[in-house]
Amino acid sequence: MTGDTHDHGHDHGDGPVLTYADDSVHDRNETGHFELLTDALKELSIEKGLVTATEVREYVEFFDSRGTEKGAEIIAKAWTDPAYKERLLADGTAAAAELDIPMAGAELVVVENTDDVHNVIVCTLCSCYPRTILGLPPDWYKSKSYRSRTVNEPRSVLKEFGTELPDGVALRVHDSNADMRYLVLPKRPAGTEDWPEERLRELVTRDSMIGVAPARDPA
Amino acid sequence: MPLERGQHDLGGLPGGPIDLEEHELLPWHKTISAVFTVMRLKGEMTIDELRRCIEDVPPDIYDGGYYERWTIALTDLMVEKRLITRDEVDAKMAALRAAREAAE
Repeated sequence: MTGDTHDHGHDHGDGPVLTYADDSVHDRNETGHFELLTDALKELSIEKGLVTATEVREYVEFFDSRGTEKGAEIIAKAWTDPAYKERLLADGTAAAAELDIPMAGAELVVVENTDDVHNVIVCTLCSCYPRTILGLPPDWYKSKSYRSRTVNEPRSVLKEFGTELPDGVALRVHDSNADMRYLVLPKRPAGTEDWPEERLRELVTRDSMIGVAPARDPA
Repeated sequence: MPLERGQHDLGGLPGGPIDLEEHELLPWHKTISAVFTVMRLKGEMTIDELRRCIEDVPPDIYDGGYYERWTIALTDLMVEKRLITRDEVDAKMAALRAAREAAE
C-alpha cells in the first residue's frame, strides 16, 4: 500500500455526494485503515476548529466511564418508589433528568415488565440505544441477526439468550429510532421485598433493561 | 411500485443465530464516537444526518462493521457539509501513515 493520492474521477458537484469512491476500496482493505481514517478525521476536525482535543478526550473518558450504572439507578428507584415509577412510565425523559441523566436530544420511553407482559427492545433500522443510560451497545445489539429477527420471531431470539417465556405472557417488541429510545423496567425479583435501593441495583443487568433476560436472581 | 427496501431496513428479514460474544471496544471506536458527538453537540451536524449517511454507505462497508460504516459515513457527511475535502482526508491519512512507518 502506498501513500499516493489517487484520482477521484467521479463528480462531486452534482447529486448526492454520499458514497466513498470505488477507487478507494483497496485502501479500505488495508489493515488499520479505519483507525487511520478516524485519526485523520479527528486531526482535521481539530485543525479546523470544529472540535478541540480536550473535548474529544473528555468524551472518550465519558464512554469509558459510562456503563449500566445509571440504568440500574433508575430501575432500583422505580422498584422502591411508586411515585417515581409512575413518573418514569409517564415521561421517561423527565424522570431520567430528575436523576441528572441526560437523554442528549432523544426521548426516553420506559416499558414495564409484569406477570402478563414482557418487553424487549431493538433498533431494526440502525442500532439506536439509550447510551447515556446504558453506555455503548453490545455487538449483538448491532448485529444484523438481532435487528432482523427480533421483530418477527422474538421468542426464539429470547431463547438464544436463555430466556423462555411462558405461553401466557404477551411479548411486546419496541423498535427504537434516532429520536426515541426505549428502556425496559424489569420485574423486581421475588425475595427482595426488604432490600434497600442500593442493594437492588446489583440485580439490574444491562440485558434485563434491554429485555432479553430477567433481572438477576437474588438467590 | 413499492419502495425498494433500504440496506439498513432489516426488520423481519431472515437471519442466522445471534453471535452473543462480547467484544472490547477499540480506542478508535470511542474516538470516532467522540468526534461525532462533540460536533453534534456544537450544532455542526445532527444524528439524523449521520444516520442517512450510514444508510447510504456502499454495501460492503455496511456489512463490514458498525464503526467501519460510521467512519465512512462521517467522512461523507463532513465532505457534504464542506467541513473538509476528500483530498484533505487523503493527504492527512498519507501523512499519518508515513509518520507511523517512520516511527517503526
